[in-house]
Amino acid sequence: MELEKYRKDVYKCTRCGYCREMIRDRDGTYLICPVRELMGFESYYARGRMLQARHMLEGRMTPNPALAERMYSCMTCGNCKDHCGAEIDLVSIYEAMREDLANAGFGLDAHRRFVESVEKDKNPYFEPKADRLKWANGIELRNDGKLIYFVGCTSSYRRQEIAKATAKILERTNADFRVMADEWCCGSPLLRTGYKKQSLELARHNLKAFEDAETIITSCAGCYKTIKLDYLKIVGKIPVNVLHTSEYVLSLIRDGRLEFNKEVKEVVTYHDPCHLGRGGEVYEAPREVLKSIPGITFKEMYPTGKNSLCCGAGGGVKSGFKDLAVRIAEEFKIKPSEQLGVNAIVTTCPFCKTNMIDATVKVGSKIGVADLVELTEKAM
Amino acid sequence: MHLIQETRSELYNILANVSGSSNVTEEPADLVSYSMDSSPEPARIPRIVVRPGSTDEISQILRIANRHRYPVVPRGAGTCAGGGATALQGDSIILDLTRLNKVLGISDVDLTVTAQAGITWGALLHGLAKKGYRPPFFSTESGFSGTIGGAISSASMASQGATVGGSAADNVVTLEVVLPMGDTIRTGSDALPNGGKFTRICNGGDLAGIFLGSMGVYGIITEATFKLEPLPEYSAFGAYFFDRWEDGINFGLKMIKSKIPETLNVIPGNRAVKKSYNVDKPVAFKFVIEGDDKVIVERKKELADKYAREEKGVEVENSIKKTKDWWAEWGERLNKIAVKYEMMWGMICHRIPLKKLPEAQATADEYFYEEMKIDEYNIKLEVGAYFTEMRPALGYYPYIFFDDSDPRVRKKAWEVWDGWFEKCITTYGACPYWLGYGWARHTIPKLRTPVYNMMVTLKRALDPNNILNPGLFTF
Repeated sequence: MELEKYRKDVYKCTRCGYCREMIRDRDGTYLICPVRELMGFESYYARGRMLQARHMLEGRMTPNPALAERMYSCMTCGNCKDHCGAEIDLVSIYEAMREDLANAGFGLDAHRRFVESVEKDKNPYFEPKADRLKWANGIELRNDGKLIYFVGCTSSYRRQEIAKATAKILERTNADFRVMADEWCCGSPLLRTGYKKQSLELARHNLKAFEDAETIITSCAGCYKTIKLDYLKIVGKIPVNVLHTSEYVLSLIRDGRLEFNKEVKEVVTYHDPCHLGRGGEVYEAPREVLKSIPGITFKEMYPTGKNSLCCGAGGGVKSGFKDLAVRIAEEFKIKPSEQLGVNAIVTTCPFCKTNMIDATVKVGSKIGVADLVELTEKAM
Repeated sequence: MHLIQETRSELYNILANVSGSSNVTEEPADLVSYSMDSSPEPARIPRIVVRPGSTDEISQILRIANRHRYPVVPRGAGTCAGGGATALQGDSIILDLTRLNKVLGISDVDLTVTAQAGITWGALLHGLAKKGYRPPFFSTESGFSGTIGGAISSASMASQGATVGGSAADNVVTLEVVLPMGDTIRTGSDALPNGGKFTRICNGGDLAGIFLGSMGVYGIITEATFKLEPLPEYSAFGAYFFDRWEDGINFGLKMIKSKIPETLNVIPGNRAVKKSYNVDKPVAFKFVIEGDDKVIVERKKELADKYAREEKGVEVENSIKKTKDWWAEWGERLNKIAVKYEMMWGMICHRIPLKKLPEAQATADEYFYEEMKIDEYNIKLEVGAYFTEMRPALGYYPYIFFDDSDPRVRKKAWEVWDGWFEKCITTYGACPYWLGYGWARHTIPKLRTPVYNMMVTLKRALDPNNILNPGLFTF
C-alpha cells in the first residue's frame, strides 16, 4: 500500500483544524480549503482526510467509491499543506491514497481515460498526436535552439492563443528557441490522480529531449511543477534550467530585450496558479511583468500569494467533478474579482484560465480572463 | 452537496427534510472524519452527521431525536482536547454546527459582539480586528480553528489573554440556547423581549451559567454575545526567573494585586525553566503589559520590574518586539512543540490556586517521570501555567507529546493521560474547567453527592429522554 510509506505523517496530525481556518499575520487570511467551504463535511478537507487515511491504515476502511469521491474532490492545491500546524506533507499523502484507490480499481472514469488517452496520443484530451503543433499555423517554428518552449497539452490543444502569444514573444525578442517536434504530456494529470507508474515513461521521454537544451520554459503551471519538481524526484537532477513563461518574460524585460510599445488599458487582478505559486514559489515574477505593462492598473485580490485560493481546476477535479470546479472558480475567483472592480483576471496557467472562463460563462460575468503572455504580446 | 448518489436510510430522509440533503450524511467515508477530536481518545464513529443552518433547524432535529430516542452530540470545530466532540454512543446524531458562522452584530455603544455559535475564533477575530476590537478573552487552547460555541461550552481558555479575560465563558453577556426538548431560550437581559443584549445576571438569575462549561449536556448554544474591548496600542514584555518558589509566588501576587499584567504566565519546575532559559531554577514568570497610553504602559513595566527585583528575580527577556511574537505565538505554540517532536499531543489542563502550584508541579514530576516512566516510551512532557481573571487562580497544563503511529506508545500515552486526571484530582485537588469525556469520567463521580444529585435532577428536568450528549457526564 502506497499510503503505508506515509504512516508516520498521517499519525502526526493533531487535528488542530488549521487546515480549515487559520489566521496568519501576513494577510489576515483565514479560509484555507475551497472544497470544504462548498462541500461542508469534515471529509472534504485535510483533517478529515487524515482520519480517512488513519482508518485505512488500521484496516477499518478499505477503498470504496465514496472514499474515492472524497479523495478525488481535492485539487491538491497545497494550501492545507502550507498551513498545516503539524507541517505534514499532506499532498503527498493524498497522492498516495489516490494511487491506492486507483490500484484497487476505484480511480475515477475521467482519470482512467487520461491514462488511455496519454498512452494512445501522448495527451489527455484524445487529440491526435499529429495535431499537436497545429496551433502554430502561420508561425515559423525551428527545431533547433538551446531554449525549448514546452507548450504543454492544454496550450497545444485547448488554449492555443497562449501558445501563439508565447511563440510571438519569443520570435520578436529573437530568442534561440525551438518547440519539441515530439513533445509528450508532462505527466501531471496522471501523477495527480494516482497513476504515477504510468507517468514515468512520459518523464523519461521528455527528459531525453531536454538533453541538449539549456533552458525550458513552460506555459502551464502544472507542467512547470511536474518538470521542475516531480521529474527531479524521478531522475535526481534536471539537466536544464526550468522557467515559467512569467519568469522568462521578466528576464527579457530586465535585460532590455523586451520593450513595450503599446498601452493595454485594463484594470486587472492576478490569480496565482497553485502549481506555480505554492508549488514553485513563483509569486513576484508575474506581478512584476503585469505592473510593467503600460496602461495596466493592478489590484490585488485577497487572499493572495501563498494564501491564494485554488481556482478549482487542479488535481483532476476539472475532469472528475466539472460542476464543483466551476463553482469554486465562481465563488472564490469571479465573485471576489467583481467586488474588486476589475475587468479582467490575469493568470499564468491555461488550465486555470479555462476553468475561470467556464465560471464567467456560467454566471454571465463580464470579467475577462487572460494569460499574462497575451497581455505582454499585446503591449509589444 | 453530494457529488455521487449514495444509499439513504429513513433517518437520513427525515433529517434531510429539515436541513436539506446536502447537509446530511451517513456515508462511512464521512463518518470516520467525525470519529476523533483533538485528543488521544479512541475513534468513535457516529450514525449520522447533520449540518443545521439555523436555530430553528436545531430545534426541529432535537424534537425528532426525542421522538425516535436518538442521542445527539453537538460539535463545533471538533478541536476539543478531551473527547467532548465525538459520539460516545454508536447510534448518535452529530450536529456539526459550523454552518452557524455569522457575526450578527457589533455594538460600539454596548461594546459587545453577537455571533452564531459555529463561527471560529479565526473568523471572529479577523472581523473584530478590522473594527479595532477584540474580546477581553481571546485565546482558547484550540486556537483559531475552534468555534466560539465549543469554547463557551468547554469554558476554554489559554495562556494568552486569560489573565484579564478569564475563560470564554467568563466573557459571555447573553446566550441563545436550544433546550433538549426543542424550545429555544435567551438568557440575561435578552430574556426580556425588549431587554437587549448588554448584561448577564438579571431577570431572576444566571441562566447562562447552566450552559457555560457544561459541554452541551443541558442545551445547545446557538448564539452568544461577548464583551468587547478596543485593541491596545502599546505593549511591553518581560520575563524573570527566581531562586525560590516563594519568591516567584510573591512576585505573582504583587502583579495581580496591582492589576499590572495583561497576561502573566508561569514556567514551573526546574526542567521547564532549564528548557526555556538554560538555568537551574524552580520557577520563572513571563508577562505582557498592554494599554492605550505609552507612558502608563512604561510605568507599569517599571513597577513590574521593581516587584521582580524585590523578590530577587533575574531578568531574562525584555523587548517590545518580543510582545508581538508573544501574541503571534498564541494558537501556534502547541503545534510548534508537536512539530519539534513530530508527535501528537494529550492536553491535561486544569485550574488550581496559585498557592498549590509547587505541590502540583512536584506531583507531576513524580507521576510522569517516576511513576509512569514516560522517558522509556519517548513521551515528552511540557508544563506551564497562567493567571486567570486577575486573581491568584491558575490554569495549569502538563501536556504530553507522543508518537501516535506506534501502537505500544499510543497505549501507554493514553494510560498516562487518563491516569493523570485521576492523580491530580485525588492528590492536590485539581479542578478541570473543560470536561471532555477524559476529564468527566474521573471528575463527575467524585463530586459531592448533593451536587451530583442536583446535576442529575437538572438533566432529567431539561432532558427527560436523555438525548443530549448522554454519558458524557457519566449520566
